[in-house]
Amino acid sequence: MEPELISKKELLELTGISYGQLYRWKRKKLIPEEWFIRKSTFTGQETFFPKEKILARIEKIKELKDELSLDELAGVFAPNPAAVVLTREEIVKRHIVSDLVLQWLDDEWGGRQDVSFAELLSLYIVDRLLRSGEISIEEGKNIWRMFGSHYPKLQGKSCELVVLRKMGVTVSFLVEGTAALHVEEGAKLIARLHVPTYIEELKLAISEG
Amino acid sequence: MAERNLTIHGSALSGGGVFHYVTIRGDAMIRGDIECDRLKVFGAADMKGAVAARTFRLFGQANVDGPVQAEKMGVFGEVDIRGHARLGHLQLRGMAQVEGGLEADAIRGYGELSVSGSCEAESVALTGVVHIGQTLNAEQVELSLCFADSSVKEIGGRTIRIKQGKTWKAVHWLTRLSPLTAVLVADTIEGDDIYLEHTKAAVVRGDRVTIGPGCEIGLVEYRMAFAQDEQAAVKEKRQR
Repeated sequence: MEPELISKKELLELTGISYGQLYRWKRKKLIPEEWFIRKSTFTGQETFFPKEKILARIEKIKELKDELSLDELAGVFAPNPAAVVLTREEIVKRHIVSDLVLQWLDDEWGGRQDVSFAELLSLYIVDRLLRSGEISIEEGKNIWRMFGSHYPKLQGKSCELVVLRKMGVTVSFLVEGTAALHVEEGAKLIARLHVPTYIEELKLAISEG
Repeated sequence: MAERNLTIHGSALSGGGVFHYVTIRGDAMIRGDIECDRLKVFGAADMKGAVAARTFRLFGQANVDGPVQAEKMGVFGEVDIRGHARLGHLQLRGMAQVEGGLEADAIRGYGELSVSGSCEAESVALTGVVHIGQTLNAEQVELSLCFADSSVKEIGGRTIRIKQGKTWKAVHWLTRLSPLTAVLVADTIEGDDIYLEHTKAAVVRGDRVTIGPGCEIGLVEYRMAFAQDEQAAVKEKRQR
């Protein structure tokens, strides 16, 4: 379903902000470019916004702008993966990963509250694999451990996560860049995930909350 | 930053790299990315790659086939950038053409600025000609139109002032017989404080709007104040 749109004029009336403020916030990347939807109307071109998202965002900016500078605010809304730290509570609230994998986190770290982006990414990817039904919980846990210990080494580089299974034994590994895989007969390629795609997805999931 | 310097006198070809100072006197082709503290070009440079410099001063002509990043950029002559430009301060005397977007803190100077994408800055103060393919978004926009017509698809900001530039006496004497004045053509202009001269726009929206001489505006929507020069044409105006 198409999200409900609000015109720029209505938005300014509703929120009481001025054109200058709106353009300044856009310039500071507090409002993403994709939310500016240009449409032709009988008065020429008009700009529309996804209503729910923009109203929530402007409310948030107004609330925070006295405490934070605009540049700091931009950091809040455009997550730089390295800098993002979420609390366990936020992850639960935004339904980023299932409770099952969050439980692992608790088991491993015993009640630590802050989760970095990389840590969350590993949970997120494994969670997606589990939901697809391709892997078992035990396998998921192994993949998660493997990811956690190897991913930091190639920080920033594009990589793929590959999961193979033969005769019930599962092996997972990370491949830098994209390479052609030639696998022995009888082995099954369970999953091959392009990690940057999931980084983007996760960033979106975080910023929309 | 690296300790090495790159100096080219005459005509030469370089592969680029990381340097402290890069100085080109003459004509150079750089095939690769260049990263340095200070980049100076006297003459011509053809750079087939990205440029990242603390200061980039150009006297002459340069092409950059890639993104440009600089804290301070001075153009005395002509620069052609095919990529996104992210600058601190841009001082323009001549012509700058960007095929992509331009982001800067401050843009000021004389001459012609063409940006195919959007131009975003805290302040823009230019005398001459401006062509912006998408949005000109700045806290303060101050354009003095002269020499030729300007076009901007959309202008947005807090204070927007478009005026007719004062041309030099000699130029004025040469062009005094021609009835043409430089105009700005825009689709939409939106801001808090707007003052326009010699502007053709479909829609102007703002808190305080003043339409000066030589304007042709389709629709003005204002909130607090509106004033119109008698030599201006406004088809429709509404207070909201």
